[in-house]
Amino acid sequence: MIIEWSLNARPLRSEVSPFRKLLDYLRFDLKLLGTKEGCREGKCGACSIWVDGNPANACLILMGQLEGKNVTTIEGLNERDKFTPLQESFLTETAIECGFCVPGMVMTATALLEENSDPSRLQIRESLKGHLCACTGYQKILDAVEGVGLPPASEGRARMKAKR
Amino acid sequence: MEFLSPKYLSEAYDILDKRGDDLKICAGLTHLLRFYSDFPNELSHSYKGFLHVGELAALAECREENNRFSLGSTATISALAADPYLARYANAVLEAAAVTSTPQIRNRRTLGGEVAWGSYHSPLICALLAMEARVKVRFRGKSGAAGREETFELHELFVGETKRESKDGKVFESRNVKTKAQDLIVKFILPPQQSGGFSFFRALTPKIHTENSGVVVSVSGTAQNGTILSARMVASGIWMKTMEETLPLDGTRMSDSYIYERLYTFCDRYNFESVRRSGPPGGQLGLILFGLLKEGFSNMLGR
Repeated sequence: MIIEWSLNARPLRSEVSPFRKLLDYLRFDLKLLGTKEGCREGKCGACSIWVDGNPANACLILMGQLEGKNVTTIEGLNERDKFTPLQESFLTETAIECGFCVPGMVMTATALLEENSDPSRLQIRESLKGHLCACTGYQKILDAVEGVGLPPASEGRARMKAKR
Repeated sequence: MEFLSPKYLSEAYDILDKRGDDLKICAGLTHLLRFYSDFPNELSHSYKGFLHVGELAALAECREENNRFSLGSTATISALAADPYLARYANAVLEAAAVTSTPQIRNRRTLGGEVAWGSYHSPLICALLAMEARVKVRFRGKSGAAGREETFELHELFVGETKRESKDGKVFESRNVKTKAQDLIVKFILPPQQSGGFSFFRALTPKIHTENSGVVVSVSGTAQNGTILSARMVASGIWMKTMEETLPLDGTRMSDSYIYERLYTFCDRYNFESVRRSGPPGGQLGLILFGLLKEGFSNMLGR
């Protein structure tokens, strides 16, 4: 089956089985390894991508469902060699240990921040409900999402003040 | 295995009439892909193909028709959770949509798929049952004849209980849905809005799972001049089968102490062992339900 879709703003024409999972197509056929393979059941959120700008689990989407859709992966989120403010904030807050869950978290949290630039802690928790992190613990991740708009860490005191 | 993804509803009807026997209708596919790890091979003995209706715009509309609000079967759960009219027509449905599963899944899962899967813990089934919604289904015609559409009460869609088993040993018990894989759920119709109508939804989710609720409860009713005229409750969940009851609140003043006293008496006297499936014993289920109802009414009264 030929699927016409767009990936990271590039139009694509893919000849692929409609039953192939998007996650497998991204990782094994296109070698886009930023989208992680976790539970394959939509529970861990490691494979989160955007379909038409909305977060979705790549493990729960078949290629046949993507005709005419715009898919964005973590690779499509960055400008060349440049982190997004949210990725910077993950580094600043040391919200990364093994980093396996981070691409998915960044995709979902970026979608949240695009919709609401100043979300409450509860809204952040709700939006990250579909993600599991086995090592960092969620508090630092919440801090990172909450701290996107804060002054950089180099302005330590100003940052602490803004946090309060 | 074939994957048919028609662009127009008439095309989908044609396909169903001509060769519906060996097809299974699907839309968001979140339930099927989660449950069957070897999808679609695990279902190849039952079906020769899938009819994907998730892209049919005609089935995704949510709109007001003849003073009733209808919800298209392929409307995504996140579309429902963001629908401004639902807050006015059916607060319970809006609240249920907002807590269904995870944001990623809400963006893909459709209302029709959620109902057709029949989970006891489904917030939306509970809310729609409490709202006394009706469902419109297009049943496939026999031996090539055109299909026929029927509208009936949503609770008539569920007949008994069913058990699904996957190849890797997962077992899932849920409500049995009377439609077959080739019968298309078209839309859900909410009853006309009554003056003084209210509804709410509450759930208790154990921390062991990110999605499934132990108990989900939804109440709809009417109140006028500070008095409740009627209130109907539907509860279900992982821990209990469907419980549909009229709450003994008619004539009760809209005051928390009066409402709580009657609710406590109701929950205390109800035989929860008859609806219990797993989890806490009946007495504790009663307390959980009382807590959820109390929270819902407190929220409604602005406490």
